[in-house]
Amino acid sequence: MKKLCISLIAFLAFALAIKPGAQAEEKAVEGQISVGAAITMDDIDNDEDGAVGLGAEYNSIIEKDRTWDLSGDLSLRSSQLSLDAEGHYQDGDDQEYGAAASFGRILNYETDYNRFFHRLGHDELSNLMAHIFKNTDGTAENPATPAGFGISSLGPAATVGSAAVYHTDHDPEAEYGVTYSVWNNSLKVNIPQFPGLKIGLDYRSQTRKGCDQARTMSKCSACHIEGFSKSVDETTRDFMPKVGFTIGSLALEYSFLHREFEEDSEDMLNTYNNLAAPKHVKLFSDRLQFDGTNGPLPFNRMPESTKDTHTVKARWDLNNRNTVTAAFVYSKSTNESVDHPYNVLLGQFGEELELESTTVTGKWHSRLSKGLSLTLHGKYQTLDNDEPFVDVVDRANLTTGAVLGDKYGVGAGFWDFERKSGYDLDITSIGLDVAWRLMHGLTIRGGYEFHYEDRENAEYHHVPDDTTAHKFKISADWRLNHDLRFSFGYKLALIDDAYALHKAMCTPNNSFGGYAGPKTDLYTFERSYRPTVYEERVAERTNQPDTIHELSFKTNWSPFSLVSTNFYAKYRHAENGEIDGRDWQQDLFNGGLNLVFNMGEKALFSAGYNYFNDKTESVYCIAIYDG
Amino acid sequence: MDYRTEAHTIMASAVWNPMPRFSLTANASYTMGRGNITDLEFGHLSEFFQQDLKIWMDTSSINPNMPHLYDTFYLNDMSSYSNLDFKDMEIEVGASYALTPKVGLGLKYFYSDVEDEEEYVYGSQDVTVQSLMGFVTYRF
Repeated sequence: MKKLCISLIAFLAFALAIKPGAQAEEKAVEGQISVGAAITMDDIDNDEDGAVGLGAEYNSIIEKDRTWDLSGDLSLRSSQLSLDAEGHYQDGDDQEYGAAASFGRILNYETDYNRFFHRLGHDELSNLMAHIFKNTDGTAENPATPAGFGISSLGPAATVGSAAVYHTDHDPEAEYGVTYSVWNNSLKVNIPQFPGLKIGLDYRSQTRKGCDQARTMSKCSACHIEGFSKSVDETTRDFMPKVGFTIGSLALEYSFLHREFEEDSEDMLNTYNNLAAPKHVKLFSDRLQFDGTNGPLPFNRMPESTKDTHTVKARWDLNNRNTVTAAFVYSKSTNESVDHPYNVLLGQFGEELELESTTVTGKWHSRLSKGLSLTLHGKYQTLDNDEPFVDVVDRANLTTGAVLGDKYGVGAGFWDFERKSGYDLDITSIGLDVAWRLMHGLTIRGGYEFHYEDRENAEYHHVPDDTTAHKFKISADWRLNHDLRFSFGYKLALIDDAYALHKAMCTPNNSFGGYAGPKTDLYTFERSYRPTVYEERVAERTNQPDTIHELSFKTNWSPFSLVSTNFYAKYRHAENGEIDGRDWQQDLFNGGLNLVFNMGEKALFSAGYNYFNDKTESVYCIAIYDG
Repeated sequence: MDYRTEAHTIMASAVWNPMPRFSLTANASYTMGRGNITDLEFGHLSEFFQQDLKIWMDTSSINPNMPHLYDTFYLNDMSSYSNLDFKDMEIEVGASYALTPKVGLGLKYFYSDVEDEEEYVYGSQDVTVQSLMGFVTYRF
């Protein structure tokens, strides 16, 4: 980036050094430089736990009362060189540069750089206070355990308590925010001796640096939620060489993308609360894999990864009425973080985790007549993930010394497993689009698409084996005259077996299983929670629709030569009535009006209004995500 | 449990060149946003769990507002955590004057005000920012 900045400054300096009078007639060099200074006032209290208002989320200059603002652009033309460059600098974290150069139309280079600061929220966690007592001597905030409620035999008061939920915000004064920057480069070479040959190289670098809040929670104790400040230092680099060749009516292009994700952020470690193990039950101490007795443990890790993608594209103009295009894409993503001492926590033992994807697409466009055209398109994609081995730690019971498997006669290692990916998919779609110009000014378009998803490991995730969707669309574009134009659209999607969780919740009629406790034992899991909750969790829920209607309308109207208006509206209704319990439903409306009053070079006025309304019924707070 | 978000946005901009060397610009936008959970309906724990003395523990002597520690009825209060209600106004006005065909002067004023009516975990998002910038432009 330094080189780019130096280059741009050098260009601007070069422009200033040129005698303006000598260049004025030829206009070989032109541009402008702007130097500004700003005074900023705000009512932000930076001592208030680092809280910064929503309006300053992307405003980087509020940290300083006075800032410089520099900008400029440059255009340079000669027989062999064409250059356009522009830049804007405001404060240290608000910068934007761009340049495009052509050397004899053989070598073409484009670059742009953008950098800004994004303030991130800081959760004080103060709402996570569901406890009313702790196993301590007590403070005003955390009263002492009343007589009869304590479990002081479990361990040190500072780490074990009978609190349900409490929190610790370790770094309330840290500056939570990330500086984001992206640098794009594209180099294209045309070889005069081979007019159909094009060679190119793209390079992209994206970084995130700053500080984020990392949270983690102790389990099988009190729910102790802890927040830490975590340094962020992530870099993603893309290298993409490509070559294209055109022979007559056939054009081919091959590109190879190599992506590297580099993670130099701080390694986060936390010592969790000790297990709260009722000694008279001797139950849970062999069911937890880790707790505070293991010392500091890692959390909030982002593995480094690479991705290699091969892409082949082809376009064949069969004749002036028919065109065929096709593409083949193969990619492999690899998790490179396999040498960490805590791999046991990540479910991998030196084996790189890989995701492979292969996609084939094709399209045939045919203009049957002057007013009628057809497009047939299809796509097939397959996703194949590695299946990592997960080693469940067989922890000895604190009292008996035996592992849990011994109790059931299955021995150690019984609960180890291979994790089957929920994203092993085969996706197939095929469709037909028609465009028909009925008369001058009126065109009707329609289409149908068949979409099919086959999930290989559905039985392990309790989701549908496959999903089938039929999608229809029709639209009309009607231009009454030069000043008035209407567009209408309607889309319908009918989905069979939309993605859902088969065992998402208990039956909606509250018919819990029989309750066997508590007379013999208050803590016996088999007598209460399992039969009444887990085994009754058989109802299906989803946040995916099985029917979607979408209506859209748009009009452009110029009542006078100086005035143009635009009105648009879109309504989407999605529902799913094939699930247990209440139906899921979404109604979304977005609409607005724009007005432009253009008086040429003298004045320009524009105004607009937009309304957005999204209502979802039966939002279900479960981790459901498909695709 | 239903969730609804709603936003109104009004915006306007104007450019006026009253004289060949003098230009005025103005941009303004106003957004009202709301979001909230409704119809969150948890009942009290069923009789099954009320029989479990540890789950249906009587803690009224410590917190009379929540006399039973694990009563699911208390979850209804979480709907208020998701409430969103804010107003955001931004105004930017500017003026530029060309002293000569090559040299110009400019002035910009920026005003931003966010009123957060419903705090969430990140605290109040209220903020007012004003910025005044002067600049000199040289064309070549």
